[in-house]
Amino acid sequence: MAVELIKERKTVAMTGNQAIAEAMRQINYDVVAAYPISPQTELMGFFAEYLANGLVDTEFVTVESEHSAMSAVIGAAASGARAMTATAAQGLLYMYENLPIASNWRLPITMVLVNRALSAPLNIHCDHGDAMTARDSGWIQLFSENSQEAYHNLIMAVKIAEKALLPTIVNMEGYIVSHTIGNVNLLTDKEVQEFIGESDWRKNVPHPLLDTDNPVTYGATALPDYYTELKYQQHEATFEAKKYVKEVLAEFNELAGTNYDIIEPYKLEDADFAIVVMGSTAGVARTAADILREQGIKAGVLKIRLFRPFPVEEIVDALKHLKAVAVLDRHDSMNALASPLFQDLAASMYHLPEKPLLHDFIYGLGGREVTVEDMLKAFNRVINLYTGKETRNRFVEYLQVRE
Amino acid sequence: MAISLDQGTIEIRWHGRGGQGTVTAAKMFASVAVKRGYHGQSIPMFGLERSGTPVAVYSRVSKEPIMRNDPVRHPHIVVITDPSVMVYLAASRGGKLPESIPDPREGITDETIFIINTPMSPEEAKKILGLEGKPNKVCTVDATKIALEEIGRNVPNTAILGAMAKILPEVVDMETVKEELEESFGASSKLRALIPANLKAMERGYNEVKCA
Repeated sequence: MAVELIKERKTVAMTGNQAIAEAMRQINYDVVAAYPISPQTELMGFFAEYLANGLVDTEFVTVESEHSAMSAVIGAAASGARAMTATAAQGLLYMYENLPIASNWRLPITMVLVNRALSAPLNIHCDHGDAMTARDSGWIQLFSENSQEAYHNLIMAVKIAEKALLPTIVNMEGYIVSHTIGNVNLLTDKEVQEFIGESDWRKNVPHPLLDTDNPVTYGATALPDYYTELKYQQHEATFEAKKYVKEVLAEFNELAGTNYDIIEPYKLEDADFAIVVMGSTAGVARTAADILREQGIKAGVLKIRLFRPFPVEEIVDALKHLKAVAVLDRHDSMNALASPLFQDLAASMYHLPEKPLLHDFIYGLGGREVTVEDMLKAFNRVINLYTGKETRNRFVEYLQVRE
Repeated sequence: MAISLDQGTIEIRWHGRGGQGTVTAAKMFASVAVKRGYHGQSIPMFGLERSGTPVAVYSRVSKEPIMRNDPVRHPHIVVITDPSVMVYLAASRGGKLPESIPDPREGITDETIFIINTPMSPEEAKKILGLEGKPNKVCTVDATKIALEEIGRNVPNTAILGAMAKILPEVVDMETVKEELEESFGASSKLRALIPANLKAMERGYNEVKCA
């Protein structure tokens, strides 16, 4: 039985990696499988310390590759275990062929993605390139602004995954969140356990593989006669998932006194212009919006916490009255109209008779520092596009490229 | 001679080298700030994790939650933990530093306070920084010497924190640093044995820092 360490709530200074390891300890997963890759390595190091000190009951599988890490947690989750892994960048790509299997099998796995730029060129720093490759994989995806949110998101993700019966990724940006130290309010061990509920292999998934009284097959073939029906069930489940995410967020707000929602508008009600962003840049964007408001420009920010399933109605509702919106994509979706967040936003607003002007900015690639000046530049560009002072040839441009 | 959190968020930029514990010092600083009931933040800017490369680390401390995490552009305090920075500055004679070394003078205002690990006098350091006649406060402490004498290793962090306790007593104090050391060194008896020496180094940093 795991050791109860935190009996009273407390505020500590933690990096994102420390906060995630702390959440993993409090969750006390049945199975964790991982292969090291920067900036995730440190996270698993902290967790391995907890394990070595006998603080968790977890079966920690140190596999020989990310492909095996995902295979191991799929096997564990199908058996009924509460299972988790973490990776980054090419590590995610190496496990990729297993991601749609986890989601179609409806396995409530949680994964922390310590967002890192994809090679080449080799770069260990943050962008969302890894997360964006997983956007069609059927996994739920949450984004975290800081170490506090990463800690909370992982605790919530366990419950979201088990309610929705869909695997869930918690995105935490490499270095800028994973290695930045900040205030983290920790819940007690008991509160976390009570919130997620006891892990019961007979109940974590509806048809555990190890239930020999009720034998089931995982990994069966579905030929043209049934493949469509099995995908349709999954399709419906992804549309249902948003409801479960909202439920869990509401329950969590009740417990922790937070004010989390699937999207987080900032000064949007009376705004003319806004930035839409995910992750750690939200605070910098809010700072820029405040500066513009001091100058009499009605600026706001929309932070998206739930990226998959994409909260179409909520986002449209938050943005439809605006004049122009700068979409910030920390990824370049090469050969596309623009990058993923822009594509989703533009498609979401397509049906509106009157809609804001949308413009896409690719920013923060490979850990490029994101400044308030960058945010002001994005705001000013869309303001000038809206007023006709400037024109554009494309829907997407690089925000920070050095000429 | 102290500055106060009543004026808003205090922003700090640290200049050090990989492997010399600058990141650790900045993390300790943030942790101490949180222990004192404030909001603390330290953002290490990593290169390719090579020992010896110059690093800049950014910290913020505030009574209010800290919203932004961009690099500190106009620091209230510049802490130079790497003594070679002053040597480079002296050699540059007021010119540019080699591109690989973040310039401690970048983005400073008249109010920016310097805390420098160097054997130089504060007057000499102020002159080398090109701040003669400016209102800036420049403080020096030979933290490396203190660390070698007290701890026996080149880990100037605690002596630097001692100097910071004089400039920012609202955030850094002996008691909280002791608590922090006991927590972070607590698991290992070998490290625990170093706590008294570190506290002595901190006390000396506090007593020996001189400002001009």
